[in-house]
Amino acid sequence: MHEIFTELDQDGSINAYQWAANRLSEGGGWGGRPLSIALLSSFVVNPYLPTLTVEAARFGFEARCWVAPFDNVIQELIDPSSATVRGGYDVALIMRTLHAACPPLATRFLDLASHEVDRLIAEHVAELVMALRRFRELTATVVIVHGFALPAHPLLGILEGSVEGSQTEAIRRLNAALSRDVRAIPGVQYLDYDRVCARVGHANSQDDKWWYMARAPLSARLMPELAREQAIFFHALWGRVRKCLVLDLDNTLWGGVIGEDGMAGIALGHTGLGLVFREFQETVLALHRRGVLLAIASKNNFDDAFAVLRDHPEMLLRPDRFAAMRIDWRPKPENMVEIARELNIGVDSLVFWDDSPQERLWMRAACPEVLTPELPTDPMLYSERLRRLGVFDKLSLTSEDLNRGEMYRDQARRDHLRGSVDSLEAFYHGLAMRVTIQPAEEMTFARVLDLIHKTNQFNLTTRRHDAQTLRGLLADPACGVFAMRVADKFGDNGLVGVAIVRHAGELVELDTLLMSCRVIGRTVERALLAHLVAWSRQRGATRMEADFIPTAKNQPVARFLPEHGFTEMSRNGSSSRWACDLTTVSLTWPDYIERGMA
Amino acid sequence: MSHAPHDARMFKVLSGVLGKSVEEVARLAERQEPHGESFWDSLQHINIILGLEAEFGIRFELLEAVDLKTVPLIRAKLAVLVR
Repeated sequence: MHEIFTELDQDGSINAYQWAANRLSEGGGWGGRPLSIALLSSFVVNPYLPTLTVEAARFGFEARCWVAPFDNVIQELIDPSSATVRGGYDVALIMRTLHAACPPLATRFLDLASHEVDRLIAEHVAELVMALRRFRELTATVVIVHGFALPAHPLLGILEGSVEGSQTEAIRRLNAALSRDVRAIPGVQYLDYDRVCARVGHANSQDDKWWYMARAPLSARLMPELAREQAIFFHALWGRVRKCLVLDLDNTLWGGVIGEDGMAGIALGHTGLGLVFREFQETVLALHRRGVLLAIASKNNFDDAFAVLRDHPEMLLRPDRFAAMRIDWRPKPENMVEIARELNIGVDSLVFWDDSPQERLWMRAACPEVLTPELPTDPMLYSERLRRLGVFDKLSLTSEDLNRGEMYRDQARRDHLRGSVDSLEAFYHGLAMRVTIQPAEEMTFARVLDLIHKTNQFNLTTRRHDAQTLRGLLADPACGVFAMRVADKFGDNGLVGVAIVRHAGELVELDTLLMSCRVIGRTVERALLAHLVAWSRQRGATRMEADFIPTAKNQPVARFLPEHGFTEMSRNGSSSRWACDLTTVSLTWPDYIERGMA
Repeated sequence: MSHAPHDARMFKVLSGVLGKSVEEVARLAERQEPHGESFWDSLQHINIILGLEAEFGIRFELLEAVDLKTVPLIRAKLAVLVR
């Protein structure tokens, strides 16, 4: 399913919807929640059905659509023997044009006196309300009534917005009355059709050719928007409405990586990329204000990240907005399970929002109940994607919703329960990683030096060798200076790791081992170490020694040596010296990582 | 089978709308006379024309859209409209 929608969203054309609909129906269906839909319309809707089916599937519904006899809406609703009444559908969509529902308002509006306009509006609403009440007495079918679109070309031209009693004003009043009165009937909802049309533009929402040719006015541009809006209603009615948005931090709530760029270096503010992230925070805050809980799952040093939340002058989402926080180096799926427990909601109430495709892939594999939407690579598009997600939408908004964030914060509990994620290996396999390790040389010198100077987090010793020293190490035949490139199925991460070793007789000393934070948590460091072990053994060394020099930022690498067969020999202040016996240690290249060639 | 320049993309659209394989569509198309019978119904026709417009980034005029009821006619029109 994920694949079908990823392809669809890259294309988005009417053909892509057709192909997606065909794929969903292959083999008799895909096992979604069955949903029977009756479409009652004043125009031909058949070309629209594939699009509706696909958008319903996006929200988990396997739709079966039935089209009621053309332009027979009121009769179908009130006749106990009508196919719509007898069909026992889950939902009926009432889709009418103003031309069909209330012809005088559409075709001879300027001939009408204002009291006639009032009367027509009242009569239309009363007739539909009567029919809907009758229908709801006869069936349990939920009804979604569309409002009417404003005209693309107003009758009074440029005066339309300036005078009282315009057609635009009349349609707005009609829509307001419809919304108020139909929603008062249990089991009836109102869909703001005009707003859907406005999203693609009124002039783009009707296709005249299809109207004249086949009485099918919905344009190819409008169909996906409308289908999505309807599907969000289905989701709000019968789906699992999500309660909590769990956010990553680096390159998600701000631009850059706090552990590398520092508070002053991250992008968050009023210009350029900083404005992009600030406005994304506004979008998140708006969701929060209507009752969506917020949480954080970020791989970071807690103190670094928390300082931004608390102290950065442009931060909108302060710590008290978040009902739960997991800022550490543990696998995010484990943290998601913990967040759900802490908030006492299901894992299937969570949405995971992370810029890293690897983290998203991992989350989908380990926690399929969590909704992990695909994100655009351009952060400028995050806000729109979040606004259009639809999974937080509900049919009503209560005062409890508006206070929910605080309620959860008050009762936040700290029972850290470790959820187990069995599919780590599967995740690594799925990444199709390729690691290439080569001696550093002139072509890679600048990048290696840059990494030596910039890398803070995954850096065992944080030795900032200068260019001259590095050249000396490169020229020294007893030394190995290695550069590691990492690629995976999502693309090439480039040169992201450096190791420096020095050989003397039986001993190899690990001077430097560092890796860009881009690739932390994917075990490529094991490949790098395995390469160093092989290099050392080839030279006849039997022992490798390494220092761990802790800094304010290199917590991620604190367990690296003990987890790879090193034992502590001595301590000097906060630094420690570790060793491993190369004759016995088993340090092999991970079998899920392909060895790259130069 | 004909190898007109736009056949592959045209058949892909037809295949999607009609729910038949590209090969089957191509087979049916081969037997079709320019002014013969459609092998799709009127509702499928709308989706075929919509699909062709999206695939080739073109707009058919109303009368063209009504008339393009066979593969040979569509093929001839695409040869004119698509560079």
